Amino acid sequence: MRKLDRFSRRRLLKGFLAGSLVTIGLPPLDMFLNSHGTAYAAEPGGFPKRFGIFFWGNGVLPHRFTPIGEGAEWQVSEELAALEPHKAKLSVVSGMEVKVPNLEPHWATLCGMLTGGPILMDGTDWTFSAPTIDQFLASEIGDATRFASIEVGTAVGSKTVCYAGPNSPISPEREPLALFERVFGGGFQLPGEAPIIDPTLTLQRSVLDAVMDDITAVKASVGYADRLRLDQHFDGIRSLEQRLRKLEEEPPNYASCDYPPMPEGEYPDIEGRPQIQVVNRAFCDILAYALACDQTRVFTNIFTRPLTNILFANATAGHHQLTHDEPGEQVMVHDIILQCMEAFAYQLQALDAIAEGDGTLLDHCLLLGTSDVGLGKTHTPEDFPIVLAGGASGAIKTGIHYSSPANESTTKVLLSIVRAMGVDAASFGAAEGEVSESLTAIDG
Amino acid sequence: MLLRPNLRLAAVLSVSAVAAGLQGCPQVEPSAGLSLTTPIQVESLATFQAPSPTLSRLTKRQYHNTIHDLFGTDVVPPPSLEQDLPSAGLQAVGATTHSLSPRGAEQYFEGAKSLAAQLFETPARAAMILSCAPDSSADAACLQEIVATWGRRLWRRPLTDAELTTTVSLGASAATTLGDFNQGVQYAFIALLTSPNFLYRIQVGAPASPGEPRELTAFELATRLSFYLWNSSPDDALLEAAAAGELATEDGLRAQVDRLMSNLRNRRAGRNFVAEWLHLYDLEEMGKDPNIFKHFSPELGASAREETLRLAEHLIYDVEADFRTFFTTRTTFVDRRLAAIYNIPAPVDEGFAQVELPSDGPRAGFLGHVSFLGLHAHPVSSSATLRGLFIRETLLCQTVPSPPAGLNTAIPEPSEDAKTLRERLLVHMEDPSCGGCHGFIDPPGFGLEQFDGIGRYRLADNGAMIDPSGDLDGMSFESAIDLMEVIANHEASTRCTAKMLYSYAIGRIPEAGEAALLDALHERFEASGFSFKQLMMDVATSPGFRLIGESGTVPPTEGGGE
Repeated sequence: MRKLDRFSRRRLLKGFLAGSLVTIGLPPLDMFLNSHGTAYAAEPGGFPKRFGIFFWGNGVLPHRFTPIGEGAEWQVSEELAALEPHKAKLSVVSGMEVKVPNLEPHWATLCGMLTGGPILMDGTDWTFSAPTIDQFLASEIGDATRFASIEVGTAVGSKTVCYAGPNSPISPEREPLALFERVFGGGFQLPGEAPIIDPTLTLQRSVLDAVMDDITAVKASVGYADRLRLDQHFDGIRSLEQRLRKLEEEPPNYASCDYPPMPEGEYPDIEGRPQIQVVNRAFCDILAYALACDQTRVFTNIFTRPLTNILFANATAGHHQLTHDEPGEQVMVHDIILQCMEAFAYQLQALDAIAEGDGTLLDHCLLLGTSDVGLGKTHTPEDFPIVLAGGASGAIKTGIHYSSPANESTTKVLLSIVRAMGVDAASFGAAEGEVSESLTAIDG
Repeated sequence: MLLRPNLRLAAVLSVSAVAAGLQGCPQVEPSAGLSLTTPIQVESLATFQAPSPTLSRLTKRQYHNTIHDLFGTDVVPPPSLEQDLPSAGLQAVGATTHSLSPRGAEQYFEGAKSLAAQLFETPARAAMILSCAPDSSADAACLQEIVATWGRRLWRRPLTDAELTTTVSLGASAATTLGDFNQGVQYAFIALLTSPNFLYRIQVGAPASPGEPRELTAFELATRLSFYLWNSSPDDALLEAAAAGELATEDGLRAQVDRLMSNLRNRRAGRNFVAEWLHLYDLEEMGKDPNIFKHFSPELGASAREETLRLAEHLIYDVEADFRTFFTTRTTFVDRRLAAIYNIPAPVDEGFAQVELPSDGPRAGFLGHVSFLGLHAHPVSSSATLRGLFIRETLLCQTVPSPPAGLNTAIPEPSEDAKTLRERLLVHMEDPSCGGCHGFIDPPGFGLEQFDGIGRYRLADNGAMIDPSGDLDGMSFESAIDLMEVIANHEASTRCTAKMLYSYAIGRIPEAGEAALLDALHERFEASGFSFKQLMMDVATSPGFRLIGESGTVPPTEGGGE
C-alpha cells in the first residue's frame, strides 16, 4: 500500500472522482496540521463518542482466551497477547452467556450477542428480531454525521452480521477502495474548506423529496410487512437528503482530520488464501480517518464472518471445518484466533495513532470486540468473548478484567454500551435476552 | 392434507421432450385426456388459496437487464447495487423479503445519476431519448412527452396525471436553473429511476368481482411475466398487449407467454433461475487450497458455473430434453480448466465446447459437475455432509433440522479402523445424537465420495478404497452413476424442480393453499415427459401467478398464536 503525500492524493482524488460537484480551490492545509487540536473540538464538552464493532467468526478457545486474574490485577491471555500494548485502554468481560434459545448454531447466539434478542424463525429460514447494537446506535446518534454508520467486511457470503431490524440485513462494503471513494471522494471536505456551492444540490434534494412522496404513496397500497420495508427505504432516502444538506454546511472541524492512505484496487488471493490482514489494515485506516473527520460515529468491521471457512495462514483446512474437526488441543484453531486478535490490535492501533485533544481518537471510542459463539467446536452460548476498548471518554472502565461469577447475560454489556454512548435506555434486548441492569462492574 | 386431483388421463403430448435424449430414465406413460395446451384452471384444483401479494425489489441482474434492454447494451449500469441476499435459498424470495439498506438507497441514487449522465453521450442515444425537438430549454410539452414515454417503460405502466406533473415540473425546474433542456430530461430520469415505482414491482391487483380473489392488473401481470420469463422489464409490445386488455383472455395471455418464451431473453431468465436455485452465484467465493488441489484457480468458480448453465440451457432449449436427464446425461460443456479436472481432452479452441463424457465413466449430469462437487466441499477435502445436505434441501426440497446446539460435532480423526471420510463419519453416527440426522443427510453424499473436494475422480481416500454404495429413501445404489439415476427418478426431485420454479416466479415459498396447484404443475410436468418449457409455461399461466390474496395489514399478534 502506498501512502501518497496529502497534496498528490488530493489532486488524484479531484481528478478521478470528478463528479457533478463544483471543485473548490485547495485551501492552505498546513494550518490544520497541528496534532493537538483541542481548539478544534467541535462539540461542546469535548469530542464526540464513537462506537465500533470488531467482529470475527467462529468464536475462541475460552480457556486460552480468558485473562488470568481479575479486576485491575490481570494479565492478557495467550489468545489476547496481540492486545497487550493496548491493555490499559481495554477491558475484558468473561464468563457471560447469551441467554436466547440456540435455535440455529452461530446465528442465534450472534443475534443474541448483538441485539439482546432471539432470532425469528420463519419456516426453515430466520432473521434477526431487532437491530444489532451498531444499527441501534446509528439510529440514535447517526444523524450528526454524513454517514449514520459504516460497515465493512471482505467476504460475507449470503448472510451478514448487521441488521437494521427484522429482514433488514446490512451488507458491508467489501472493497477498501470503494469505501475510500464513498467517504473521501466527491462530497468530502477537509476542515477549513468552504462549503460546496453547487446549484444541483437543491435539484437533487427535490428529486429525493419526490421519491419520498412516492414511497409514501406506495406504502398506502401494500401490507404490513412491506410497509415496514418501505419505511426502511424511506429512512435511507431521508439520510441521503441530510447528507446533501451537510455539503452546504462548514465541514466538521477536527484538527486530526486527513485523508487515509489510498487502498489498492484489488487484493487477489495468494495461494488460495485471502489477504485478510492486508485488507483489514486498509479498512482500519479508512475507518480511523472517517471517525477522525467525523464522517461517521458508528462502524462495524466484519473481519471474518460467522461460519467462515477461509484458509488462514498456517492452517491446513478452512477455519470452520477446523473448529469442528481438529482433534485435541486445536492448535490451528488457536493460531487462527491469534491472527484474528492481530487484526483487532491493528484496529486499535490505527485509532490510537490519531491524536485528539489531550488523548487519542481511541480514547473517545468504544469498541466491542466479539464473535458469534463462545467455543466454536460446540457453538456454546457460554464463555462469550467480549473485549471493550477505548472506554468512550471514560464512560466505560478500562484496564480491568471482569469475570462473571454466574453466567450473566451478555445483554448487560449492551446496556452498558448504550448508556455509555449517551442513550438513556431503561432496558435492552427482548424475551430471554432482555435486561434492565447494565454491567455495573464496567460502567465508568 | 394434500388432495391430489385424479388426473391420470390420456395425454395430448404436444411437446417434443419425450423424443429427445432420454438417457437411463424410464419412459413416461402418457396419461389420457390431460390437455397440456390449456392452462391450469382454479376449478380443477381441489383447494386453492391465492398467495399473498409480494413487493419485489429488482435484483441487481434485473436492474442491469432492464437498463440494457431499454437503453442499449453500450450503456453502463451501476456496478455496485444492494447485494441480493437469498431467502429460503432464492434471491427471488430475498427480493420480496428484505428491506433496502441505507447504503442500497444511496447506490440507487448514485446509479440513477450516472445513468442520466449517459443519456446524451452518443448521438444515437440522444435521438432515442429526444422524441421531440424542444423549442427552448423550458419546453414543457416536449419534456412531458419524453417523461410520459419513458416513464411508462421504466415504471411499467402509464404515469398518472399527478405523477406526470410532478416529474415534469422537477425536470422543468432543472432545465430552467441550469439553462439546458437536456439537463431537465436528465433530472426527470433521475427521479424516475430512483422512484419505488421503478425499483419495486408493485402488485396490488383488484378483485374481478366482490368476494373473488384479487387479480393482478394488466400492467402488473405484464410486469410479472416479463421479470419471470425475461428477468427484465416488459418491452413495448407487452405493455401494449396489457393496455389493450389482451392479457385478460386465455388466448391473449398464451400468445404473449409464447412470444416471451420464444425470445432469446427467455434463455437469460432460465439461466438465472438455475443459477439461483442451484446456488451457482456462490461459486464466486469458492476457495480451495492450491497445494492440495493443483487444478484450483480463482477463475474456476466462474468456469464451473458456466458449465452447469450451459448444460441446463442446452437441455431446456436446444434439445428440449426430459429435464431428469440434467442429472444423468453424459453431455456437458467444458473449458480447459474443467477438462483437466474431468481428465478428458481439452477443447481445441479457447472457451467452452460441448463434449460427451465416456459412457462407461464414473461421471454424469449436474452431480458430476465441479459447480456441485467443489462448492459443497471444504477448501481441503470433500464433505459427504455438505453434499448430502444440498441434495436433501435443494434438489429434493426436504427439510433437515439444524444441528442441536452444544453438540460435539467433531468427526473422528483417521485411524487404522476408519481411514476414509465415510468410515470416520460412520463412527460419528454411532452416537445416537448425531446419527439421527446424519443417517439422513450423509448417505447421498457417500455415493459421491469418489469425487474429491474439487470434483476429481478417485478410488481411494487416505489410502483406503472408497465404498460409494448406499440407499436413498429406500432406493439403493452401488455407485455415483446409480445415485444420479436414483435422484433423477425420485419423485421428490421432479416435484422439487416444479416447486422451486413456482417459488421463483412468484417470489414466495408456497403455502398450504397452493399444494393442489403444485400437484397439478407436477402432474403436467410429468405428463409432458418432464419438459421444462411446459413447466415454465404452466407456471406463467397458472392461477397462482395472476391471482393474489389479501395482504396482512396489521402486525402479527404477539406470540404469533395461530
